[in-house]
Amino acid sequence: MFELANPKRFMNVSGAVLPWLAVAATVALAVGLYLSFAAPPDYQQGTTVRMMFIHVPAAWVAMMAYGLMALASAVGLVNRHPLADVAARMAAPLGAVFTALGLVTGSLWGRPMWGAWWVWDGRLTSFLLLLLLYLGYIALGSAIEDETRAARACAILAIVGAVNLPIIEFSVDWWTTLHQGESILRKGGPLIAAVYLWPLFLMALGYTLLFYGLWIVRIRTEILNRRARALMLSGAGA
Amino acid sequence: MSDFLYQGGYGAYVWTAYALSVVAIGAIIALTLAAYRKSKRALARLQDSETNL
Repeated sequence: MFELANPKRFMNVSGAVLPWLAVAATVALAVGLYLSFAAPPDYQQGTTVRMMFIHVPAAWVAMMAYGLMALASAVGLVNRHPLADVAARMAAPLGAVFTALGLVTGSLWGRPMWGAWWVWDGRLTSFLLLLLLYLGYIALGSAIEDETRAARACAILAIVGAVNLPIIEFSVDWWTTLHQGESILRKGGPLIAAVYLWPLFLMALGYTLLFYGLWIVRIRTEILNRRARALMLSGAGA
Repeated sequence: MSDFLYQGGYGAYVWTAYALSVVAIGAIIALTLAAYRKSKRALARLQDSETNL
């Protein structure tokens, strides 16, 4: 793991992996989209069951991205590894977009099914907090000029904010809520029919692979930027 | 075809959600790739000028 953390190694390995990641993400999303619309309308939810295939993957990736960001932050803080800080910082805008998509698609699902665009219940509120954490993290990072200090402040915010992840996860058990409970990764198996489970699984896989691909490209971009900055500094010093 | 667009009466919700998802994800893909190409070009220019000194 830490050998990969050498920027040069990272550039080589990620460059080889990226095309495969792109192909896998494209195939998963294409087949997933097809199955999403081939699935019959649900007997209770009608065609809005199709919201699930974009809402759940967006929300899942939003939380996964935050977990990865907090993990990279912890590694950056403890091991002082600059690539870990870069990885954490580059995950945030992507995570924020997926979080916003989770909220918006959820709202568009809630309106026809619950009769409300928004309710202040545990799941929705804690998920809104996730978006605010991402935005706060991004704002904090751009507000501090010095790179090392910015990385440290951001890392602390990311790690403290990770407390929100289990709150989101268990919110549907802890509080009475309109949001339905865990229906997939539960004891006794999923509560969803296979005809919905497959498109959901493929879309979730596609979203996850897409996130990793974009994250890697963003990390590569930042490595190139830092090389360019180092070159300019050495040029200016000479 | 119009049945497909109608989505059992929920078309406005379903299609808005899918359209917003496609636009948002398309945008982050385009922005991410554009930033990468820009950085690559900038670094290549710097390295060129370095070797030409």
